[in-house]
Amino acid sequence: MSAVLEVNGLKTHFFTRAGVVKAVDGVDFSVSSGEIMGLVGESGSGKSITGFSILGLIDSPGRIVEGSVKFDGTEIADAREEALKQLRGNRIAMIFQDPMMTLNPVLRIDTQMIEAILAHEKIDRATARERCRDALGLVGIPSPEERLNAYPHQLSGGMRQRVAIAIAFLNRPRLIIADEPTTALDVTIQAQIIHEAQKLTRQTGTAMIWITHDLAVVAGLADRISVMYAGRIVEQGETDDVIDRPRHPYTVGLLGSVPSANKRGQRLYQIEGMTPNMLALPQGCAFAPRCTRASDECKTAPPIQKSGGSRIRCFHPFGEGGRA
Amino acid sequence: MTKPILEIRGVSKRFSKKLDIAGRLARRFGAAISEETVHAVDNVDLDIAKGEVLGLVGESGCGKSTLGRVVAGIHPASDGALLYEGRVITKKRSDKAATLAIQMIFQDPFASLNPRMRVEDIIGEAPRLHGLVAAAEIPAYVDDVMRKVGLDPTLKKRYAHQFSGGQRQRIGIARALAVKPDFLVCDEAIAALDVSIQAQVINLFMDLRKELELTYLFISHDLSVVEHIADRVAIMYLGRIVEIAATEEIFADPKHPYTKALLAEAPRLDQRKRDFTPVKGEIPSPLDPPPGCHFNPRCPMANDKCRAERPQLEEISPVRAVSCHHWRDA
Amino acid sequence: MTDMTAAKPAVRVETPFQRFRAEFFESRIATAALIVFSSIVVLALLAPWITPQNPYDLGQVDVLDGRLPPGSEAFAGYTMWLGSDGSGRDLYSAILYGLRISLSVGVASGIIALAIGMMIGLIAAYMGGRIEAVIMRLVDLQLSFPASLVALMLVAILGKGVDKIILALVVAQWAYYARTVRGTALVERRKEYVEAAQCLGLSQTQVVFRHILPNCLAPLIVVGTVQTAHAISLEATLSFLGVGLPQTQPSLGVLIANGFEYLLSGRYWISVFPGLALLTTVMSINLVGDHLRDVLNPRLKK
Repeated sequence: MSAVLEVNGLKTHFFTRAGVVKAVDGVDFSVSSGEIMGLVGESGSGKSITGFSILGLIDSPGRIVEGSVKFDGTEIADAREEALKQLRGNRIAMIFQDPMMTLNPVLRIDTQMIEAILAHEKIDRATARERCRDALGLVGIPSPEERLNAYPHQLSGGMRQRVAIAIAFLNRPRLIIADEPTTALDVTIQAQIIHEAQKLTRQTGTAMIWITHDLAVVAGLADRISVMYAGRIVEQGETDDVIDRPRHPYTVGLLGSVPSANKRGQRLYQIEGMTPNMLALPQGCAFAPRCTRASDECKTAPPIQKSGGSRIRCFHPFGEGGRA
Repeated sequence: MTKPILEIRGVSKRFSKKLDIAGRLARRFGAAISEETVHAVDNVDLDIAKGEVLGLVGESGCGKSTLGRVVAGIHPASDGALLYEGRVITKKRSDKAATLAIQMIFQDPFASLNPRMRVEDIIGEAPRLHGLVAAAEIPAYVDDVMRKVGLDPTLKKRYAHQFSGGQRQRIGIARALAVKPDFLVCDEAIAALDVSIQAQVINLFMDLRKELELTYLFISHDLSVVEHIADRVAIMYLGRIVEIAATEEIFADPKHPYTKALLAEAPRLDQRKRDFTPVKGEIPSPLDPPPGCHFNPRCPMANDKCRAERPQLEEISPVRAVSCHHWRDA
Repeated sequence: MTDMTAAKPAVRVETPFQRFRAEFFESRIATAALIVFSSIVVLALLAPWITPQNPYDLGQVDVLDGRLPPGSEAFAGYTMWLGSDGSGRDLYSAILYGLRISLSVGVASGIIALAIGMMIGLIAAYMGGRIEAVIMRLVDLQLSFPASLVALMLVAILGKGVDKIILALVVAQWAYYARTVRGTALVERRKEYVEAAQCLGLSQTQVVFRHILPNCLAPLIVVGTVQTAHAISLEATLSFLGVGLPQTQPSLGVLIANGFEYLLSGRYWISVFPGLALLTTVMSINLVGDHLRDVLNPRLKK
């Protein structure tokens, strides 16, 4: 499998009145064709900004200050807006938490979908329309012909998100970046959407980055997981390794704090302290002030340790199997 | 079971949107519009025992938050009665003791705190206005409550926006605790928090329950959280309770097809690359619920009876009830 | 892109006022406007001590000094840097004294209209139903007339005088405040902190005055600034038309009107200088108000 996307040393900083926010501060990862990578983090961890950076959607006062983003072998971190526009919606697509970021409320679904095709391809409208109908069917929308004639507001939240996903897959992109696409949806609808997304990536060989705060969602969906904390990836590896044998103290803490049947009624493991203030990050490892294993060493930037397929950014990782 | 602290007796809550002049005029001329009525809560019966944690689970629009607000006295019930320690409290809450005894913790740690007030006023306002604590002792009392929820009392002069989400939720909990309640309605109280902060707040709820002998109505869409904290679980769908049972029982052996679907589809850490067929369809609009059993359009077991006749909440054991025509076939 | 703003953390140590101040002074134009306006207020307040003449004291006004061009020397010996008007008033003195009247009429009517409009708006928002419908239709009716027309009619009925013109301005403007307050209060009362206050057993009055009202103040301040500027120019309009303040107490409008007849005969200064003073005042208030709206309105925030 060749890498569709390779991100190396990506840094996106925001220059605000109160100081420099290093929202993304040295992120490396790659995604291959047909692979789903889960990008997990809490609010402010930089997971969404990473997604926006890849697409070149960073607005002032933010900008990419360093690093490379290679899409199919071509560098796009410093590409011009024109070139990025050709990529977006065509070879790279995005799905947002709010489907109305993709959908135009005053246009009918068919108009929007057909335009999305015609913007990048020269085919006649009838063929394009047929393809739109098929795309709606693929994401599990009942009676797609009828839905094509609807306006976004006539659809429920779950239906809108399906349409947004259908639009994302419309031009058979190489890469889809999905930013919390199911967070606003109910459990049964979320299950349906995950089911469809999984099916489509498998069928089309599209690479997917699934950004979420919910470990349980990516556990059941992703091939690999990257865990972000304060702008950096602290642990990266195969889903089974990260979820079953976490090694970074933050990942261990996060997984330990998720309620599950065997801990019923007992106190949960809790990570002490607050999510960090991005304007006043501690020197070295940003997690150190909340970490039970921190030492003086952690005041310097921790190295990336490789073991098996996993990469951990920590001086004192837990041993294999999540124990000291 | 001990004597219930709160009894919900056939409570319904309807919201209706009245037609304005233009609408009434249009209807007179034959337009097909009518007053819209949402049955947010539809004839619900529930008992909650003293010291118990009752988890109330459902998807958006199922009426769980509305039921919580009826219990907390924010919305008056359209029908039915609430009994608190045996006394009816449905009508306007003139009963101050009962009003203060039931407090609510809200979902949004940002919208639920008045942005113009300092923390000490947010927490100290109600005890002072109600004379629960002498004016001179308010500062010490506020410090005390803040420590109880794990907040540093030296920060009490600050405004709510100067705190993080988790700390704000603690301020909201402190505000409720300051009037010495016995019963807390927690409406998605941890849903808006970061994962690492959720555990802190869940632990706080469990510690407070032990320390202050509190009773909770714990409303959530998150099954794993409810499984962790609740003694009993009630599942709601489109305004009705479809199943209620002790937590272990409902998770081990769900009877209602909707409960089964929920349990099967909630993402869990121990499931990988699942291949399954999720339950079809979406929650129907509460404006126009399907006749009979509300779940029938999505239910794999539905037959003509389900489409015609509303199933009653049937006691299938002394501590378990389910509202389904087919629960025996499961 | 909401997610991106969420990722930018707030600075946690600032109080709301500090943040407001920092954001306000980020705009150079608004800062300059605030400085200009403050200087105008200070000059107007100090008028009796920094002007050579009290234009209200007929003993100090000499008709022989009438219509002198800027820079002329008055009979009493001081220089009239801005010239004099037809009755021999030193324009510099007259403008500063006129500003006192214009500002106090504008501010007084603004405050009274704000208080009345706020109460009516709150009542409408909180009572709802028929009361709200009646109040809001009244507001609509009021707002469908031009404010100057309403004020003009009232002054025609009431007659001249400072108190009467304030009353007319209040009647012409309360509706703006009422509408603003009702709109904000309707949004605020649905927020969870209001539900929390209900839960805590606070009475309706306590909820309205302790919780809802303080959160409606920001848009009120914005409307208040802009409306005060409006009131000042409205008063000038009325006085210009001769139905506002009496000749013996010249406000800026009266001064402009006095010079109007000389404008074509080349004696521009009698109208132009008071006009410039009015323009600067109104514009500086409006610039401050515009920027206040940007700073106080969370929806416009980046």
